[in-house]
Amino acid sequence: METFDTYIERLRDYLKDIEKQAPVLEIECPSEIDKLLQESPIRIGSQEKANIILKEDTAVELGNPSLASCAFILWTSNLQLLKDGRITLVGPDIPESIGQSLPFAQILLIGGSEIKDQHHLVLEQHQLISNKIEGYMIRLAPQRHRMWTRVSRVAAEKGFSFETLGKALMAIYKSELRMIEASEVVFITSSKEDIRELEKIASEVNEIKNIALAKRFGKTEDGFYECISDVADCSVCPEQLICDEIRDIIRLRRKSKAST
Amino acid sequence: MSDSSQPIHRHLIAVVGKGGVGKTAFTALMTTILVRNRYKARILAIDADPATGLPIALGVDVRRNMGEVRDEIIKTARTAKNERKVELANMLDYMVFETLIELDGYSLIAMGRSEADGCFCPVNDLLRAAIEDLSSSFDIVLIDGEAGLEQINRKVMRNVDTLITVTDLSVRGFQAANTIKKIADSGKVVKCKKLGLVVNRVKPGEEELASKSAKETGLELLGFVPEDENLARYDSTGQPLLEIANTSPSIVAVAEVLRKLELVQIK
Repeated sequence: METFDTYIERLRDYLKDIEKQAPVLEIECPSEIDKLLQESPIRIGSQEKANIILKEDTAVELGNPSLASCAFILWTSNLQLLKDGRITLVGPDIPESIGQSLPFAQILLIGGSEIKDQHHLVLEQHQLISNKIEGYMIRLAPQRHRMWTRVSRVAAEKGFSFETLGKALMAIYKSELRMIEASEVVFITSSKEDIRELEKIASEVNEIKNIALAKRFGKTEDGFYECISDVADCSVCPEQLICDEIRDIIRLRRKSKAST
Repeated sequence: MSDSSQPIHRHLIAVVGKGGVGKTAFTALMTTILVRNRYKARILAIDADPATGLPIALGVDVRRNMGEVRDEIIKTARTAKNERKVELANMLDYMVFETLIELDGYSLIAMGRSEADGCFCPVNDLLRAAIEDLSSSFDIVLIDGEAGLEQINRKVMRNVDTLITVTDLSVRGFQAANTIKKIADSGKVVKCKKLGLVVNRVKPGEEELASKSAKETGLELLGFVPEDENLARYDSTGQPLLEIANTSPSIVAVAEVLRKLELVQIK
């Protein structure tokens, strides 16, 4: 689907503009999950619930609400539009920012020929992967496309950098969501102004997402609303809770009818 | 206190009592002692008193409180047609973290009051779950509550380790202490492992009367806090109690209470 193709183009234009004023670093990483995880200085994988990282344990803070932050996802079925495995960093990296609180933007570019509108929420939810990355805490406000994170001192001492984070994101996304064939990450820490520019793209993307998702429930001829999603696996659907609750009620009704 | 080589046992303390008995000053003094003697312990103070005096006593400026978070959740749930549960859950974690005030040696959360009409038990449940989650990252959690235990039970926490009732020498103060004991004993509201009483503002010569009244409540007497003009001065000038001298009579007495509860080892 090409819902966001123009936005990927806009992002590329934005990056070209920014290159003229801020240092841009491009890191090419492998495509395969195991290679992405190979030299990680910190643990990545399912762990127990992540504790919060308090200020006293923080080496670097990213996207504090008093600064600027922006996080969103762009996906496409046209793999030509992405450079699989690339991490782009605009602004200072983590090892050189110890003790600082930086403005922060994270854009994930995802490519897969099978990806559809209905998958957007699942893709978005996976941004909350903090319990899978040692020493990294994430707080997400998706409707406001904001992300607030902290890197712990312990992780920073082990060498945590945006390369670590980028590789972790790509590896986790690819391993959890089979439909992803290519992924790219962009990090921006240069300035509040640079991030404000992105917010325009982010809010438009959010609008499109909301409209697309509203279509998940279609009205049938008899006037009833029905799930028309062709996501076969309910466990990745954020509405599963509602469906389950209603199924419980159906079960209870049947039970009480049966006993009368 | 705990050092980094020992497993840290999380301790939850709630302080309740009738308004006006000096409960908030007591909680502020407890916070001060814990911060000064904390070694590596992480301390969280929760102001759950709708009259909200703890931040003032500690000299903290509160920008956001949980009441505002609650109102925003209710508003969003009401108005957003497509607001998905999962996104609301994310937003909650984000807002709760915004509400947390991280300071030198401790953190503070103000519960505030909610403007939204109605009870909204599910929202309370949601917020309480968020607070319980947050608290799990701390070693000592100190809750400044009010006389009735309902606020704490509904909005903050259902189980605490220690419940301290503060009273002064007034009949009303002791009556409230009696009521609190009854409620706590029923085990239905705010389950606690230890229940104790602190008698505040005891003037010289009043100790015997205080002991007698304390005994009548059936609560374990944790200590007296003497009338302290130094403290009164801090209170009236709005100076943060965190700056009070270690030798001030009130803080010495509160330190003794904490020692009795085995929360500090002061050299």
